[in-house]
Amino acid sequence: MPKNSQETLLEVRNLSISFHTYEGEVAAVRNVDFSLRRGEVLAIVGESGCGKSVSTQAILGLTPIPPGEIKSGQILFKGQDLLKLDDVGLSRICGSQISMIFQDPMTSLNPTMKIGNQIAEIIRQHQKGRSKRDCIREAVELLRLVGIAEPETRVKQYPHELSGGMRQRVMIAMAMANRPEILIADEPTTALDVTIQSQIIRLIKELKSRFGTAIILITHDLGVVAGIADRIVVMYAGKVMEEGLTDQIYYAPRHPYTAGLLRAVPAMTDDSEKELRTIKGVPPSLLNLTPGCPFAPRCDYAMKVCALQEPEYHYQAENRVFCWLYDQRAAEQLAKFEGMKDRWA
Amino acid sequence: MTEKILEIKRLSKYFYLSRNRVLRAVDEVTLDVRKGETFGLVGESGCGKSTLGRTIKGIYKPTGGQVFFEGTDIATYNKEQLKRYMRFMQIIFQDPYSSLNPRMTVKELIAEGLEIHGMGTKKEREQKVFEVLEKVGLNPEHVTRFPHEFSGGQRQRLAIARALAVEPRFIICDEPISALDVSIQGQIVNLLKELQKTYGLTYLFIAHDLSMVKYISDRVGVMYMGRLVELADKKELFANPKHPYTQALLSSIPIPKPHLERQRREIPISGEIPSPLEQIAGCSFKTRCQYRTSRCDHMEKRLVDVGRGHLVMCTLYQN
Repeated sequence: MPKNSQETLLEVRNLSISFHTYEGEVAAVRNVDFSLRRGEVLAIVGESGCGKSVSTQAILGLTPIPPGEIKSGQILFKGQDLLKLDDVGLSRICGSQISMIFQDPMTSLNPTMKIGNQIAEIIRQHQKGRSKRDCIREAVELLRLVGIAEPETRVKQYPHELSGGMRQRVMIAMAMANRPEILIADEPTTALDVTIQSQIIRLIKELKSRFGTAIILITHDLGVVAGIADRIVVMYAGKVMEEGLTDQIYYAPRHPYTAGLLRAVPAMTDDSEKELRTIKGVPPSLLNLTPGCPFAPRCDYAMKVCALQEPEYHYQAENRVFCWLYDQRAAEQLAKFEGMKDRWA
Repeated sequence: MTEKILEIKRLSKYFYLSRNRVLRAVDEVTLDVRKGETFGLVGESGCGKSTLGRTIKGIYKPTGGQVFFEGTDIATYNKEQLKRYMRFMQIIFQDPYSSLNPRMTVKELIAEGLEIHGMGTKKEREQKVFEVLEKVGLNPEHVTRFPHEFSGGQRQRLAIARALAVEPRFIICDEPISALDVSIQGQIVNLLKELQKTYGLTYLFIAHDLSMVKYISDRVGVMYMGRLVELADKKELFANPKHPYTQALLSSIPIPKPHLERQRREIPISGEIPSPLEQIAGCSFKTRCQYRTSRCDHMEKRLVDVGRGHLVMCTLYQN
């Protein structure tokens, strides 16, 4: 990451979101903080139900209310709290300064509209007074930009005439139409095959270096973000468990959950036949959260205190970790964890 | 050499959509699976890997070719033999949410197969249900529960228990871990490995996640547009891929190690998979292949052995 780009563009502070269901209140996101600097790629990693999508949807006001409820927090974009904006205010930012792409491009595109018209619509929405023909011409250029062959023909086609990879490229073209400062990509490659996935990731990388767009990349796959992310936020059960620079997260994870997640995937570079080291148990239900660290029941290094009281964040340089192991009184247990990590490496 | 438990000879499955439109989902695939091994089958969506699995199981009737199980052609089986085959050949599906009947309890789900195959007395069947539940790591006290009361990983364990109850010899695992979270995937893979050791099972492991296939398989086959384009021992295939498609496929897998991932050299693969309805003469990969020559238009659908059982279907190796 270039040193001169330390300016914070987006800041999520103390965000808590709950959903009210028949079974009770589901605390999907609990006191989440993270920030995005100009021009960087921030990856939010976690398993299903960890709150990674819910917390980013709130940025663009996409949380369904009800059943959702924003219990607390601020989302500051250039100093302005997005949670306080009304629909008109949000729609001015949405799609122009901040845009988003989703996992499933088929359900995000309008099946009854031609590709060109859909792209033109989003340009005209934010650049009033431009003629339709002019916008369609720009749509062709945008399709060329995202690597679609024969864009002149494609603008006249409907979404169902394109393949999954191409639809995702169209989504990216729409998201980039107004040259946003922030692009939020929610599992952009999960529905795609591995060869297409690497094309899309390469495209996102290119766009980032060309336009300096800051990107939030949400994924469950640690492999996908290894080559593109500058910083990584690891979430679990609605909480940020660890945050750090990419290399630190991969090579020196400080949270037992991060370490476990990394160990659970067999590496392509590894020929070992040993039993996979898995994380025991299952993620907790967010309905009736027990006090303490949500990972404690699955943690190999859990102490008595872990199940009783939530830990604090422990900071070290660019890293923060939500774990009792970094309390001074837990030095012995921490040494055990460090020893185990060395044996894994 | 170990005994072959399953042999597939020029197996095809075509779907006739209308008079002039034929979808060649599986196109003359020949392979054999040895007793006790895990055969990994990989390929991108639409390559026919699941259709192949289902045709072997007998869910689809093959358009052409034969399936030999323990030496006999399953097409020659009479009703009784076929039922026995159905017992020995079990299948586990990707989505444990839709593959288990939501209105049946755990006990009914697992005992169903035992009843169909008339295995044991009522008491023995009950015993068996408890036994397999324990084996797959579920609490036997949960026999009266319904599938919705379990998490995704637990449901997949339930599906495995159901397959295991009838004492199969061969299990087709059709993307058994794709729908599960990363931390749960490893648990299921470890369970499958353990059961294989205990019961001497043979697996056909169908998946698109190449790192998991590399981990679990002994030999791996790569499919592209209905054809098996490469087959080799796991280590050989991943270290030394021969087919241009396999090379591109392997090079596009992201590595969860930043310093390796940033330098990963990808072999670009131009364009996208053609429509499966298209009839491509010769090699089906030629439209995207960087080594394309005029010979590719009349490639024989024949696997060539390039040494130590490493089979490839490509004109680069045919002469």
